[in-house]
Amino acid sequence: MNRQFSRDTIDSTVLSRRTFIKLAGAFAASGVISASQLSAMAANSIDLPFGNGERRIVNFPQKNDVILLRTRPPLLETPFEVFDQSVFTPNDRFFVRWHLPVIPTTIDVNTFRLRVDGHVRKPLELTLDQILNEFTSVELAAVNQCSGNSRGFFSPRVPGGEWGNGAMGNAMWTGVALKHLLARANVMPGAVQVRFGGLDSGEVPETPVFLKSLSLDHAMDGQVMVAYGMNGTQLPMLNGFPLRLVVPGWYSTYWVKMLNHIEVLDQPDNNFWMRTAYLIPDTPGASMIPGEKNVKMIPINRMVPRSFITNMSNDGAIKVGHRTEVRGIAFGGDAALKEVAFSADGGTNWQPARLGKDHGGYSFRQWHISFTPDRKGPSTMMVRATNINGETQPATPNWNTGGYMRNVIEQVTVRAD
Amino acid sequence: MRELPSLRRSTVLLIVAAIVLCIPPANALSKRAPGPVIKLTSQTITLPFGDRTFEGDRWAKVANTRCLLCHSKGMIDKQPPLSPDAWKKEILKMRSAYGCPLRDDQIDGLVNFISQVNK
Repeated sequence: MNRQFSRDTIDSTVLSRRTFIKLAGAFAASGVISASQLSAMAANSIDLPFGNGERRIVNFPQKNDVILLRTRPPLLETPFEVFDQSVFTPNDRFFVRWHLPVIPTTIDVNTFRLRVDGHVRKPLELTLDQILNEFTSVELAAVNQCSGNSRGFFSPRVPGGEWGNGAMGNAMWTGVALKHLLARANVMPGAVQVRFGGLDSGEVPETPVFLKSLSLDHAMDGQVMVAYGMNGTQLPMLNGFPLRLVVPGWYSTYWVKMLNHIEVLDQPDNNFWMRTAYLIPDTPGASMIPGEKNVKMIPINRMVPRSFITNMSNDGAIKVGHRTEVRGIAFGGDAALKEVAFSADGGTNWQPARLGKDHGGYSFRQWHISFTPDRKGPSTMMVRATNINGETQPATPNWNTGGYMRNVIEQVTVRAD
Repeated sequence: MRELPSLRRSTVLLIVAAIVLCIPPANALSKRAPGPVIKLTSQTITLPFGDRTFEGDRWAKVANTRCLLCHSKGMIDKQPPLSPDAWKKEILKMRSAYGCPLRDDQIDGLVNFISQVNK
């Protein structure tokens, strides 16, 4: 394990806490944070490159300089430059996505309980102390990515959370394997799925409680984790303190936050968040034609490969005859990254990029390459990730009504002078 | 209470002090070795409510009391340009799926208002 990373993360957390304490003091007088106070905290704003993409950069409880998409329930995006700074996304910059408006603002570690019940012989009600000390702890680096990351780039546009590319992050998660919790509860024969619920709820009683389910086999695979640590420290409240589910390689809709209930089901879960929401076309690339009818829809599931250039942007310039370093991040989705290919000529010629330190198959991995531009004019750089299953990024964007699973080959056009 | 002759008073105090120091603070839990040590401490935050509202006629009031009941204004005004039909689909979904308290005779007026303010 890379301890250097942990120390860096802890340092940045301390910094953010200090900043937070300062901010908290300012808020104490008023009790709540008003929009004007948020505005006063805003260092600047950003224009995401799609229609109606103006956003403010704000501070939020335990969050510093993040892109504000929605205040309540919070949708906060990681500014893209953060992905150039580290392969692990600092907790105070990590994206935030809540569905329901009533989110606990106080968690007492002594009274919090995690229930494990349903189709089990021995229902459990575990304290945090038990979870920390009675089970073997595991550590895993994994990308947490919103199903609708990059939705703002969909064409034609679709309604939803209009994210740029920053509704994703990579963290070192610490916790206990879900299978050990389920083993202690002693799952009964006939169980088919495991359902997860958190402490958030709706403002009106008709709002369906946010619940997500995995198949029993998936829940028992030894990789799905109940995490209490994120980058070496406890989770920020808005990332799900004190416990969140970690489902490596799957979209974050399954990574239930403030997890307090694990329920073993003997029937397939039919709740709104599995049956109606977060559905994708059961087609290659989860793609369909706008307006297409009668497309078979299934619950979203595993992630697909993606890669990004992080040190170049569309307004950038490079110099002819000078060696140019290009770098970025990539991940394989639900399988480890095999290669990252780079093109400096708009996709005509590709060459393998050099891969950085391997933090495990579910993590971001840095890549870099250098080339020397030989002619003036616009230069379109592209990057393409392929995973060990041979799955690669498509040259044309997918489209679906939910705005899910975008993973088209990314490109950046700079000017060579 | 019978005093133990073999322990001097200062030794007893030291032992008591050691025991007290070993008790974790009331609002913190930590993991025993092995593995990464993560300390869990009770947390309290104050979340902003999002106090921007719609301005205008009675439909602004409907939007402020119904739409903004469950989410802040950013949910609406950060959307891409949507047709009135697309807005109607969203608004009906808010009622049928999430329980937004809207009457039938409020739907078209609200669709019209949201479509206008969010062009």
